[in-house]
Amino acid sequence: MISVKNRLKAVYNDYTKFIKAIDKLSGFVDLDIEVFSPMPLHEVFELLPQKPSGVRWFTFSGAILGIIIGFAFPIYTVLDWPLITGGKPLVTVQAFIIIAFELMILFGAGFTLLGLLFHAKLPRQSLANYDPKFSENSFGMIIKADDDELEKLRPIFSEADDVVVDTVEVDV
Amino acid sequence: MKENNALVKNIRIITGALIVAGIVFVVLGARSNEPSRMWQIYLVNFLLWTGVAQAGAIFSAVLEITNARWGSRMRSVAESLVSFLPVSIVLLLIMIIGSPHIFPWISKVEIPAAKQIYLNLPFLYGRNLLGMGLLTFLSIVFINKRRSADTGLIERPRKFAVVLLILYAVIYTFVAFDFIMSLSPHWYSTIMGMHFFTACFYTGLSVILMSAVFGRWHLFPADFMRDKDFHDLGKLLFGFAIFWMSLVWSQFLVIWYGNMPEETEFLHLRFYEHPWQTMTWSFIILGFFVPLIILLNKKGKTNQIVSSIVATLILLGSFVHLYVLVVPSITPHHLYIGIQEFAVSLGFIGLFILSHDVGLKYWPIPD
Repeated sequence: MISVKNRLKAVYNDYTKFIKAIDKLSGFVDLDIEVFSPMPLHEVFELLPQKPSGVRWFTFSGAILGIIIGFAFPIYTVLDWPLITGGKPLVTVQAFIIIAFELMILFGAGFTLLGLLFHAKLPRQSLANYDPKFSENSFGMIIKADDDELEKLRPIFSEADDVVVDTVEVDV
Repeated sequence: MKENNALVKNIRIITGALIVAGIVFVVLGARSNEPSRMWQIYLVNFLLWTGVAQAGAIFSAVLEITNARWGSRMRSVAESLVSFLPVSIVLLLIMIIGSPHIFPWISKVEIPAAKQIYLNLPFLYGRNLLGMGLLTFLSIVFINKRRSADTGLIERPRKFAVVLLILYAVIYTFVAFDFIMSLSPHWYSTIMGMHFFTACFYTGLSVILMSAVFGRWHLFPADFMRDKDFHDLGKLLFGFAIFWMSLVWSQFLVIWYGNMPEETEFLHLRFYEHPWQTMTWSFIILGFFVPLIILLNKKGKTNQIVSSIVATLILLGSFVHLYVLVVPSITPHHLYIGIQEFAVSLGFIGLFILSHDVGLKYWPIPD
């Protein structure tokens, strides 16, 4: 279902004012907020509650997949072309553990990268919310809210250098 | 300081009772018909607790040279473990009495003349007493220096920490060769030293965690330890579970593939023969699979009840691990489990907790 929501973009040139606004916003729960900054800000990570990243599930499933392939692939190859080495049985789980371990790391790391790209929606064609200023000298945030919420939030941005409100279609 | 509970108030009495029980059973065991039964459990406990105590200083030295700040509160706990080291030198001296019942190369197994230059009692105890004495001395000096550096009086002892770490690796390699490998005089393994000191450090981390959890509940100022500290230590413990297992596996795989008679004997006894097979698998499960699965989860690392239970299991796993390394070489066909083994082990635990308690008085937790 698609509904129309207000989109508020606030731009700050001053770091302390920006953090002050974030601090006030952290009182609200369930806020659809996106923060932009030209540098990593540890205060923001501490102030805004974050959901645990979904990337870790990519890492986990990649690692499990790596273990499965790490065992399946050597077992398939030794059975398909049997060569007895050093008098050992063909399917030597002891030795294949090493291959499974290495592939666990390889696939885990690879899937982590994929998960990162997926969750950051990269590479993307349109940068709808982005403003080039956020990579230069400004801090900014974008909040999607309905009318009632917006009225409550409005006073917080009194110190912002620029506030733009428009509407956007949101998937609910 | 928090409201002290009964356990903390009576710690001296409890540990004293454990030590007395331990001493009684050490004396009884040494004078019994099977003295090697007592001395082998004595050796296992000696290696375990000395390694744990040394790991306290090594943990602090590692944080010093990596310039890490995450463990600044954990290291205060770790350093107080070092107070067991002087005690362990006395325990090493006591072990001289039991040597004929421990080392098979004294009378039971014939060794070539070339090996006798290295494997003889005066040289063995001489080098180990010198090495352990040096490490004990340097660890104590390092901790004192580190603590004065925190107040800004002197420079940070970073070079000192590097020396301590290198000596740790070298001296503990000798300890592993002399007290574990020489028990099967015809078997040799170059990775044994690294295997042993990594296991010591890993066990040390688990004891630091247990001590920190207990201290947080009963001893330390209320806001001294934070959840984040336990999360970090849990990560380190998780990493070392994998690293330690990879060393065990490197050892196993090479010998298993090569299948040389002189090497395989040691491994066959432990991996394929009753009753050692069960014990080998139990230390792999306790020391590797349990921490791997439970500490993988963030809640497993931050919840102190869960992580201290995991740490206890790791300590138990490490005990079984050392037991499997030492005991099958001395008595290959008998697994002795009785009141004597428990009493001697409890005596060591009591001695360790008592010296840890003294260590906390000598190197107090900063307020």
